[in-house]
Amino acid sequence: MNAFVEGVRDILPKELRRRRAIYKRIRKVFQNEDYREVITPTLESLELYTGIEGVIDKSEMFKVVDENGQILVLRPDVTMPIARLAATRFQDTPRPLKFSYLTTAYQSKSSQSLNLKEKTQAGVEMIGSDKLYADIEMIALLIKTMKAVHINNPLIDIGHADLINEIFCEMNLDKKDKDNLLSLLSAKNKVGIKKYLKDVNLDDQNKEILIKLATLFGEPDYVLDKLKELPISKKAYNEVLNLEKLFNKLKEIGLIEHITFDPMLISRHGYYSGVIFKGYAGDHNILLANGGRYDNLTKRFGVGEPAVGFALEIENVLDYLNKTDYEFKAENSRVVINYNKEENFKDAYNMAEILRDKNYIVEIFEELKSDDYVKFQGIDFKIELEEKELKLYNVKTKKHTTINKKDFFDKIDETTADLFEEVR
Amino acid sequence: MANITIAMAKGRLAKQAVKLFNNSGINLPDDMLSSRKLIFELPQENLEIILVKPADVPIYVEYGTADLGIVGKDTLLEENRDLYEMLDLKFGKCRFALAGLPEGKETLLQRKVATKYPDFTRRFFKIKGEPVEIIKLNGSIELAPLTGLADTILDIVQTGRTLKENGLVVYENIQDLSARLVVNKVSMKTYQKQISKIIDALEAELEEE
Repeated sequence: MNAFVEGVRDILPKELRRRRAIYKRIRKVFQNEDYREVITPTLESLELYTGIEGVIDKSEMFKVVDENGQILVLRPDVTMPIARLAATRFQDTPRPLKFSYLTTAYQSKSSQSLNLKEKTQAGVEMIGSDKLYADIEMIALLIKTMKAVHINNPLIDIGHADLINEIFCEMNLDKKDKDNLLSLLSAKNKVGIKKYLKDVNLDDQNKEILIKLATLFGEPDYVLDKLKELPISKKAYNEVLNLEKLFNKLKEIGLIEHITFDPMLISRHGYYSGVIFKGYAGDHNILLANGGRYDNLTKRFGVGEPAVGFALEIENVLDYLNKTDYEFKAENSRVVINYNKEENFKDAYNMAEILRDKNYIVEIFEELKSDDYVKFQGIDFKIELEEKELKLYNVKTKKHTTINKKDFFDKIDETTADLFEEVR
Repeated sequence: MANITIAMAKGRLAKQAVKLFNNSGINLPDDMLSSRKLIFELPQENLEIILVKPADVPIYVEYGTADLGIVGKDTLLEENRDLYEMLDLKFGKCRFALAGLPEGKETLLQRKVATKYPDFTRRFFKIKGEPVEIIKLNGSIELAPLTGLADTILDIVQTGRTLKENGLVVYENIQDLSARLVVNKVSMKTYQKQISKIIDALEAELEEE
C-alpha cells in the first residue's frame, strides 16, 4: 500500500512544540486588541467561492460531494467564511466586528514557494469600518504579530487595488488591453509594456505614465512625489493623496521604517478593493502575509459593508525561523527517573509526582539500559534511584551528585531547586 | 549588506552575460566560464553567481534561492513562473516557430507536435483552439518529422540553418525571443537598493549599445 499524499504532511512533536510557541504568541497579540477567535467549518459550499472574479480559481479548490449531490469545498481561505459569518450570524450586532482565526486552508496549487496543499493561516478581520484608522491598525497589528514571532525585520509593501483602475479610467482602453497591461505592470515588465504599447491606440503622455509606473516603487515619500508629478486623472490623484495620509500616520507612530510602497502591487485575490499589503521578512526574501481592504465582498451576502484584514502564513514563518536559526528554548526541564528494582517503584512514582508538581517534565523508566532513549527524548536530567540513595546526572555535562533518599523526601520543598542547580 | 545571488544559465547565455556585466562595471571572475565550479563569490561586489541549467533559472529565482536570474525568454514562457521580468538583455536572439516537412502531410488524426517546450506548446494550441498531441523530446527536435514521430515541431529557430539542412520549413513564426533579467518578487522589495543598482548599470550599458 502506498498511502503517501503529496502536498500534505505529518507534524511531529518537535515541530508541533515550535508551532505551539508561535501560536501562543500570535494569539496573545490578537487578544490584546480584542480580535476574538472563531473557528469556521472545514467544509464550505462551492458557491461561496464562485461568482466573484479572481477570488480563487475553481480548479485550485478541493471539492467534495455530499450525500445530496451538493458540491462542497475544503475552505481555500478564511476571509470568505468570516465575511459570510458577519453577514449572517452577526447581521444586527454593532460594528466594527473584530475576528481572528488560526486554522488551516486548503488549495491544490500554491503560488508561493512552499508547495503545501494544507497551510496554516493566522489572521484577523475587521468588518464594518471604512476609517483610515482601521487600515493603520491592521498594518500595525501585522507588524506587531510578525515581531512577536521573531521576524527580525518586518517589511510591509503597500499598494492600492483601485489606483490602477482610476489611472486606466481616462485612457479609453478596451478590456483586453487593460488586462494585458495590468499583468505586465504587475510583473514590472517594462520591456513588455513598451512593446505592447506600440500597437495600442493611446497618446504619448498616457504611454509615458504606464511605462513609468512599471518601475515606480520603494520608499513611500519618493514614490509619492513621483506619482504626484505624473499627469494622472483627478480621481487617481485623490487616491494618491489618501495613501499619503496613510503613510503620514504610519510615520507618526514610528512604523514607516517597515513600509515600502508599490502602486502596482497586485494581489492574487480579486476581492481586495482598497489598500492592499504584503508582509515580508526584510532579511530573507520570504513572503509571510497578505492583507487588504475588501469592501465589496460582503455585498454578495446582502449587506455590503467595509472590511479589512490580513493572513499570516505559519509555514512560511517556520521556514523563515529555520533560516535564521532561531532557537526555541524549552520552557521546562525534562527528567527521567530510572529504577532497577521493583521495590523502588513506589518511590519513583512519588518522586515523579512531586517533580511534576514543580513543573518538571518527568518520565519513569524501569531498567534503562542505554542512553539512546534519553538522547532521543532530549532529556536534561537523569535520576538513578537506588535503595538508600539517588544519583542525579546532568545528561549534557555529565555532572552528578548523590543524595540520601530520605533527605530528598523530607526536605523536598527547599532542596529540589538547589539540587538541580548543583549539577547544572 | 546582504549578498545578492544571480542565477545564470550555463553555456552561451552565461558567456554573453559575463560580457554585459563586465561592460557595465560589475566585474565577474575571469575563470567563471572555464572553471567547473558552480558557485562564485564576489565579496567586493556583494554578489554571488550560481551556474545552473537554463530551465532551472526561473525555478531558483521563484523560490528565492537566487534573487536575480539571466535566462532565455523561451525558458520563461515554458516555465511560466511568478517573477518580475525587468530587462531585455538583447542577446541570445531567436524565435519560437512551428516547422515541418515542406509538403506538410495531412493527418487523419490530430496533429502530432514534437517539442522541448510541452507546456508552452499546450497553451499555444489551446489559444489557437486546435487539439494536438504533444510529444516531449529533449533534443534534436528536427528528427521528429524526418522519422515520422511527429508532423510538426515547435522549437527555437535562430538562423534557420539547422531546419534548412534537414529539409524542413517554417510554417509559422510565433514569437521573438531573447535573454531576460528576471527578479524574485520578494527580493525586489527587500533588497531594492542593491538590485536597482545592478539593473540601472545593466540598463545604461544596454542603451549605449
